[in-house]
Amino acid sequence: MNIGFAKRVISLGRARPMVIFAALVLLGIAFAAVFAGVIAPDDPLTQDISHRLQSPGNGYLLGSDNFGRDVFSRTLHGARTALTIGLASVALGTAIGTVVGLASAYRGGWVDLLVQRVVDAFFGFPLMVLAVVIVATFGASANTVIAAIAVALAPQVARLSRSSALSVRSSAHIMAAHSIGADSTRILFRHFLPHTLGPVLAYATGFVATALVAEAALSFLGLGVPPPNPSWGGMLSDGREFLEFAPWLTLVPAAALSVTALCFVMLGDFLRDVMDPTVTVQTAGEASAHLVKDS
Amino acid sequence: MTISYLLSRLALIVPTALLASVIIFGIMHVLPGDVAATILSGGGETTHSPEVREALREELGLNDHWLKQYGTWLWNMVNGKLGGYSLIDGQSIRSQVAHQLPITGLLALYTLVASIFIWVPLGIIASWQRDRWPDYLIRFIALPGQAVPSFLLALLAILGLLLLFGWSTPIVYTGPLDDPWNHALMVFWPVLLLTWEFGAGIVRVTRASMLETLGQPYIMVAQAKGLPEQTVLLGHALRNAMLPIITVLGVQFGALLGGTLILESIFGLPGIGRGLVEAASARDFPVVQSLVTVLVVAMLLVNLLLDLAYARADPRVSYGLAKNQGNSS
Repeated sequence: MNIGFAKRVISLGRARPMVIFAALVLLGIAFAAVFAGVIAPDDPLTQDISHRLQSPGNGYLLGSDNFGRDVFSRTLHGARTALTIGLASVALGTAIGTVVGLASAYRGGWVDLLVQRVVDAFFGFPLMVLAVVIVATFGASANTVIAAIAVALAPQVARLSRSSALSVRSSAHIMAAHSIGADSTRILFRHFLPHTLGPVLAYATGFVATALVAEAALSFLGLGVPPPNPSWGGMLSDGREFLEFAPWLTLVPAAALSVTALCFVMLGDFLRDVMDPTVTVQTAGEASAHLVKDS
Repeated sequence: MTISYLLSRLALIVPTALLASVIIFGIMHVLPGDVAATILSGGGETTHSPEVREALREELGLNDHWLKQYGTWLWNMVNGKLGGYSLIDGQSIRSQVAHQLPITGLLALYTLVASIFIWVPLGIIASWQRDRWPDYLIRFIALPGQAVPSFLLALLAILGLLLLFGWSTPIVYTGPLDDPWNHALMVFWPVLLLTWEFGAGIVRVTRASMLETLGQPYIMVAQAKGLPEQTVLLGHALRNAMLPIITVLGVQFGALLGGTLILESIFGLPGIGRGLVEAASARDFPVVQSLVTVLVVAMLLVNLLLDLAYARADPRVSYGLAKNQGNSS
């Protein structure tokens, strides 16, 4: 499994150099986030009113904001905030959603019906709506934001894992497992999970992008990580007032957020193909080659 | 697809919406709500005595048992008042919803229609031309929509329009019938940005799903028979590839409503999303509950429609109506 997996990653990765680039960029961002305290030339919170709104280059690599804080340092520390909240919320949401979705699909019948109604009730809340209500009620803090995004993502994961589990439910290998008398736990974790984990993990990687954007949106609305702590959404919100005179206040965190989210989306796409046993370098090429040849 | 199935699904919306309202009520009542403090500080009084606050809490019914509070809200929901009145300004929630819902609904409708007619065909083209320039171009156009948040694009769009053309969006919203031109100007940018955001997922899923279907043996058979390419692509492949597309439409619809939440604030559209952010920040719980319930019912109805489309697209999905399920590959 592991050798096969590594081989698939390498063979599919070769076909898509952009994914390798995205992965390297993410590694770089993760490195910057972890060592933000060492790399950042300045403290992200130190104000220097006499040097406010400096354009990039004048002693500040990427300029300074309306309090004279170094934008580069704040962006680096913002990466830490963004990655922590993005990864933690997706991990939590995916774990909850997968268990609920699998169990629901496997049990079927009234359990499925009941669980799906609860999932529907949660799913009925648009992600941002639920997140806004939760954060507005519990007060803006990093933990609230993580919990809010996780709760909002979980129903989507539950739906995904349920639908991919349903699609293999009546397939031969599940029937075979039943026929040799495998118990529920074994069937669920050994036979359902591998088939659903691929799509779920691939989507989860994409969800990190969603979570990053959601965190930024919450901070933008003033419902995220409380100031003065650096977060990309908060920086965007602060920069909004100075859009015309100091566009770097908006453009720098915007670029950081977009690039990070974009890399997660690309990585998610790639993982989806790696995990999907029906996609191989050959068949994927052939599928389109057939149609292309005809034209 | 039978009428009874439809009715049973419609009937299921009621408990689901109830459950959703209980969830929201629960969330909003975990902490002692202090809409009273908001009202008092909103009146200009920065300091207020605990007695005044307590009296106001009593007057607003915030000291009642939570069951009674929920019951009051629910009764007001059922008797046509859509949850009663705002705690902040005493405004009728029904008139608020009547003003705000059409705006958000129209935004969502425009976006949904634009997305389906723009992105699904593009996704099909991308899969058909896989790894050639149209595929790269389409994915290049679609990708940023998912990664670059629409509120960010909105800021840049406003800045660009202002600096380059000295043009800003109209400030006062008008309905499509009152002043169609003003309406179009006002909704154009939010709909464009939402469509972009909404579309990234649709293109990805359409492309991926089409590619998966195109790899199936029956497609090879169809091609071996010498069927025209369009027939194979649109007749054979698309039908099976449609299921994940329908799923993603449902998933994205929530994202769409979430997107309107922020864009309404930025573009000054007095829709339900903006109303919700304001009410949630003020902890005006009857308003939050009513607005959220309205959104949830809208989501449920859209998802019901998509489920019906699902069954139409795939005969294997019969929602337990068929006696035996055919074994197809």
